[in-house]
Amino acid sequence: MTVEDGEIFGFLGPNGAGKSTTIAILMNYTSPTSGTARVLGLDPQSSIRELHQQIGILPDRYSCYDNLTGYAHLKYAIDVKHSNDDPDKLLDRVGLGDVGAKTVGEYSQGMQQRLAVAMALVGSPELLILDEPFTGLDPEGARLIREIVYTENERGTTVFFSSHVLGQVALVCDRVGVLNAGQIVATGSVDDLRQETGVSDELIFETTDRSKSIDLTLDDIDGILDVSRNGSKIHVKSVRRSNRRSILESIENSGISIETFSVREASVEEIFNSLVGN
Amino acid sequence: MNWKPIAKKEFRAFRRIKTNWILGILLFFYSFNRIVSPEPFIKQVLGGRLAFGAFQQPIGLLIPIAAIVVSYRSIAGQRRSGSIKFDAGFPQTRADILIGKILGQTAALSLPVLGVLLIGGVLGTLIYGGFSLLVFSGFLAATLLYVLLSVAIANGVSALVSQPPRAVGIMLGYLLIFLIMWQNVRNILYSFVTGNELNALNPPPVQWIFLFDRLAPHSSYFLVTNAILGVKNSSSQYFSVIASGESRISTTALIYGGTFSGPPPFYLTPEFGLIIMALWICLIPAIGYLGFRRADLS
Repeated sequence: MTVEDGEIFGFLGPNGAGKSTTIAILMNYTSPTSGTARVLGLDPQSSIRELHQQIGILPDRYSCYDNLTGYAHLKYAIDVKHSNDDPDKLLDRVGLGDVGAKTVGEYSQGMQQRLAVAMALVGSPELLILDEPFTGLDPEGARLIREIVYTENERGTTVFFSSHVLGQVALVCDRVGVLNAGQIVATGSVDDLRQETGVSDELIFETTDRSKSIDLTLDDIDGILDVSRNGSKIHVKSVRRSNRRSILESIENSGISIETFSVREASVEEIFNSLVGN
Repeated sequence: MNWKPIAKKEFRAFRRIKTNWILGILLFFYSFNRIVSPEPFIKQVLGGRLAFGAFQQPIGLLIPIAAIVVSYRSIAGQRRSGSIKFDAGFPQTRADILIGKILGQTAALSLPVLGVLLIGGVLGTLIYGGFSLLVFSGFLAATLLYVLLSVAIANGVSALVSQPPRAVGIMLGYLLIFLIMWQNVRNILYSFVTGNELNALNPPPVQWIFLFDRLAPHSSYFLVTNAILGVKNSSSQYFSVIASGESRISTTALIYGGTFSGPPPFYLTPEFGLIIMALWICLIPAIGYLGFRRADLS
């Protein structure tokens, strides 16, 4: 599995699949028993200072330092990365602007998560590794993470994150990799995986015309599994989402006018379950 | 090396903890009487140096205990809570982390020590009319080295094991053997090797047992600070050493000049105490580092 420069990559898998272990190897929290890993072209075990200078990490199952303030946490991160970030600006960015002077012992889990994200952003890293970033966050917090991921990515940062919250992943990622029992079972865009697994969306078109046949060009559209008619309704099963406009145009080109149009979307969960074999 | 940021962070995290206040208060009350109303024969030898010298024994006993309280979780505890993942995720090696933690916590634990020595200094000036600043500085430097030694040992053990309770167990064993029972250990070793009992009231002229006597951390601190205070060449606290010159008092202090004549070999000089201290400071963290270097932090 390779994560490309500048992409937002989601690392998925059921609990116990080995997501955190993979990240632990990338971060040199643990040593691999066999195999190789390269991060930004460097060996994670021997180039710690050089590598971690360019990485922002939000670890999984961490805790902050109870008797330090939020501000002191960021000061430490700034010191150790020799960056010139402003702790107050970072606190503002994650919505902790008014509690920076409090010790972390007084923070809720969600606040600690926000602080940890702010620490990961110190030094404008080239690679942001977020291990289960949505854990413990309310919807507002989850939205904040998404915004940060987009903003950092636009700046050129590669974002690699693991999650079992699949809906969030589908919203954010360019590509995903699915890990099951320590093995990569699939990589690609969510659309690619939809196609690969054959887990399809169903598009339902309500028409006024029951007799006209549908133009055969529908067969030429990539990702369509099945087309059927049921009275005034046309059902199209598709594993892609990018082809909806082509489908619509193709039906209209057949001279059939469409009154309404609805979609029953397959969830990311369905794709995921099909990949990990539940 | 990139240990300064973590040292600063540790200092910030530890400077205001309760242990520091408790340590400062205990040191002060433990030593107060020794400063204001010393035995005449002690006053005769030490004079104004009592202002800070009076802290020698309480520091020797309480600093290792305080260091354990402060530092036993330093690495083992952070591995358990997961906060070590931040330290290890930043651009610093595990050696940087260990060194930074030791130096930062040493600085924090030095605050109450500095505090009581300054108060002692003021008291001593009022009572005795002053003392040599050079001697005071030497005593202070040796004491800070002892704080470093104690914190280094606690961190070394904390780095070696993965669970805080195990670190506490090992360190209680260390306190028992080195701080509380060292003379018994020495005596047992002597009988084991020679077949004779060691009578510390009239010690035999056997150099290696004198050296062994000085190997415990607090013994090396007493040895060095005795020399600074102008007390005889011994690794017992100054009271025993000075008191041994009194005809009505018997002490078990092993004093070089009391048993041997002529200058001591280098390994029985007070300066060698600094080497013993340095060995402790390097050895235990080095062993801890070997365990921590490849430890699984996930």
